[in-house]
Formats: sequence, structure tokens, C-alpha cells
Amino acid sequence: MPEITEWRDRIWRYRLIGSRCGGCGSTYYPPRNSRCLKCGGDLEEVELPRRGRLLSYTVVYQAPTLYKYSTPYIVGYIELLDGTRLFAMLTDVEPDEVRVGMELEATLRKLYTYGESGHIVYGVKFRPAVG
Amino acid sequence: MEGIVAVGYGLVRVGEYWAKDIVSLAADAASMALDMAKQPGVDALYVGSALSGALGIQGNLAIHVADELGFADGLAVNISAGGASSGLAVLSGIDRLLSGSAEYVLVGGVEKVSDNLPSDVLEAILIDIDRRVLKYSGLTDAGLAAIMARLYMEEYGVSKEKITSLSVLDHENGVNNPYAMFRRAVSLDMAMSAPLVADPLTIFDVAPYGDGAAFLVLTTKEKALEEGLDYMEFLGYGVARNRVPISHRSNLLSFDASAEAASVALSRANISIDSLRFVELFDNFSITGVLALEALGLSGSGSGADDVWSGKFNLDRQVSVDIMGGLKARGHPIGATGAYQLCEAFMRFEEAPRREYGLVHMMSGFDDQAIVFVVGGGGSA
Repeated sequence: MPEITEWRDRIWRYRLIGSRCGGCGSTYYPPRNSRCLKCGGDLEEVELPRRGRLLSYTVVYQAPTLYKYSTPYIVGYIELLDGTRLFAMLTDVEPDEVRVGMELEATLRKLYTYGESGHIVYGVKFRPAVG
Repeated sequence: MEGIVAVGYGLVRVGEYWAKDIVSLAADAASMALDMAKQPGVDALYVGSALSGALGIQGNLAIHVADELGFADGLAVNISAGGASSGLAVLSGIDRLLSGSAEYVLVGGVEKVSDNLPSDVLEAILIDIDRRVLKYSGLTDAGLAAIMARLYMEEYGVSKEKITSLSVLDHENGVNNPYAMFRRAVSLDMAMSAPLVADPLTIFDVAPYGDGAAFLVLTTKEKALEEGLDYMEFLGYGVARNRVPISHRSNLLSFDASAEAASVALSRANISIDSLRFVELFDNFSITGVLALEALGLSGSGSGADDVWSGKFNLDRQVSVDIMGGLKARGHPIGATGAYQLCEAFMRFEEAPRREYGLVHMMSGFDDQAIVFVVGGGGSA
């Protein structure tokens, strides 16, 4: 797969940037380039809150090539404090410690390494919130 | 819509074809369909395949299949739209016939997954669904289904066993399908205790990817009657899309596109859901089958898994679900799966003594694009 796509997406992936509608306030992650789905309003880039709550999760045992050395790993469906919902890997927590409803916070971590180039791709993961 | 029928079907058993390439696999199924239709002159070919290009197997597939079949002229189009690929191929063929630009069309799909490593196939599928959401979160298609299953269990207080009972039903019905990948019944205990793919889903909650090809020959009802050909009639169809990426949806458990497509298809066919004899779900996972049941209107929200568990959709009931084994037992040759569902509906009608109606549901991703066909056949019209 072309690695330039990871580079192009780096800013929103590193900084947890989504889009917010100037009209109705709806937010989206990943960011949308077009208009608001709910009201058709203009969207602007916004840094999303870094804390949220776990709505659901899974532990992945059969992974695609890029994550094949990471299994088993946990992926959460998370609602941020402003209501934005997203999917992200959980870290610093074991599968048997995960609970629906637990408080989480965003942190920057390594996602995967490309085999031939050794190019490391970073992104946001979530860990149990402290304090 | 009126007057479009299938007069031939052809398919190969879903599985692993090490000695066959994608073009000859497609040609095997297509030739069977053409033979049944008494070898008509085909004016257009539509071939669905989700991954043949992405996996580097064969790009621009349709012209190769057309040439292999000896078609000297006529349109050859390939359609890559995930699990909806062959459904859209069928729709395109129907539209071609309705426009009067063709008398016979050959439509269907082919997928070859055994030529590549499973982890590479999985990566191609994830990018097909949504590169940004799935690739950067490590989420897999089964992982996404697992997240839905856990949400469903929390929201409605339903046990995992009830969701998995759809897989048990699929396997029970798949025993009767000569083209099914797995023709054996399984117990709920076996399905529940199998290895996890993505917790809480085990390998029995996940439809197995396989090589496969399925094709149908379509023409007008007028032509079929003139030629004395047996047929399955297309009475209505609907197509709709849900929001992508999936993180932008307000409710993961609501398959709005499937609901809309079914409502349009039934209304075009002027048939109520109660008069259907069978429904084929695009149950690529046990949970997505349950959510589809609810979207199509066969079960209320949160009661789909209960209904399957209680036997409401078993073979001996008024509306039976996945009568040929669904995606779990038949297997899931992604871009060809929709064509399999329609071939199986045709097979069912050949056995039916009376006029019957069936509904066939297909989708790409997780309700991303849904297609519903209402078909009829059996006995005299």
C-alpha cells in the first residue's frame, strides 16, 4: 500500500483533529472535507477533546498484515466528551481489565512499521484515564 | 418494474481452487448458466469482483471473461463494489434490458481469495471498507462486527448464544445446498466454544471467505416465454446507501440502507413482507444477519436474535431465512456472493410446486450500500 497516504493523513491522526459544523455543532472523526451530514452547514477543523468513555470494544485475534505482530489487541468504540464517536486501539490495559463505560484518554503511540522501508506510522491510541 | 427474468444460472461450489485462475473459474460458472439458457447470443456482460484488482490477480476482469467465453462483441463491464459487486452487476444488466439496448445479458461475480495470504486478503478487505477508520485503528471487519455485537448485547440485554443461533440455522440449512462450502450441521456449543476471531465473535460468527463464481443469464419475460425457457422473475428491487465512514453514523445498530432498499423493492413488487416464502440475508457475520432481519422488517428492533433463537425463521415456518445456508455455510466469495444468493433462489423455485416469492438482501461493508431484490418463480405464473 502507498505510504504517502499515511503522510498525508498525519496531522489529523497525530493531533486528534476532526470537523465541527458551524451551523449545528455536529462533529466528525476522521474529519470530513465536504459539508455537515445533518444540516448541510460548513465544517471547520477542530481539535477534539482527548477524554472519553468506552461504548463497546473487541479483542482482535485475526489481524491484517500490518498488525500481525500486535495480536491480541483491543479496539474500542469511544465517545469523546463532546459526543464525537470514533474507533481507536486501546493501550496500557489488558483485555480482562477492559469495561464498557470506562474513562479513557488519548495518547500518541506507534501504530505499525512498514516492512521494507522501516517507516514507522504513529497515531492516537486511548488508555485508561488517570485522575 | 416488469418483465425481466433469469433463464439460466451457473455456479461452482465455494471453496479453494488452487488449480484454477480467476478467469477460468468465472467461465465455468458462466458456461453452466449459458447452457441452461440454451446458449443465447449475449449482448452485454457485467462481472462483479471486489478484490481481483486490489489483490493484483487480474484487473479489467470483464474483458478477459468475455474473451474466454468466446464473446466476439458486446459490452463487458466489471464492477468492484465490495459485497455489493455482483448485486450491482445484476442491477446493471436489468437496466440494460429495460433500456432496450440488449436482449440477453450475462451477469454475476467471481472472487479468488486463495491466491493470496489470508492476512493480505484481510488488509485488502479493510481498505475496501474504509482505509482511514479501519487501518489506523487496527479494526478488522470481524472486529467491527464484534463491537456491534457487544453493543447489541448491552443495549437489548440479549445473550451471545441468541446471536450465534443464526450461524447454527445457516449450517442446518446449508446441508441441503450442493454448492455450499460447509455442508454439515453444527451445535450451538460447538459454535460458542470455537476459537475467537474478534471477541466475542468466534469463527462460527464469521462467514468464511472462499473462491467462487456465480452467473445468471437475464432476458425479458416475453423472450423467455417465446423460447420456452424456465425462469425466475425479478419483481422489484431497491438500492440505498448508509453513511460512511461508519464512525459518522449516529446508531451503529440501525441498517438504514437495508431498510430503505427493502421497502422500495417490496413496494415496486407490490408484495407484502408476509407473503414471502423465504429471505436470504447478507449475513457476513451472525450479528449483521440479525441487524438485517430487523432492518428488513422481519423482526422488531432488538428482537431479531430472539426470533432466530425461538425458531421463527426455520425451514418449516412461513417465512424461512437463509434456506440455502446463508453466507456462513455457503461461504462468502465477496464480490460473487450476491449472485450466489440469486442462483440459490432460482434453484429453490425449480423445486417449488406453487408460485412463491423470495427476498434477497445484499450489501457492501456494514450496510454501506444495500441492494434488495424481490423475486418470484415456481409453478405457473
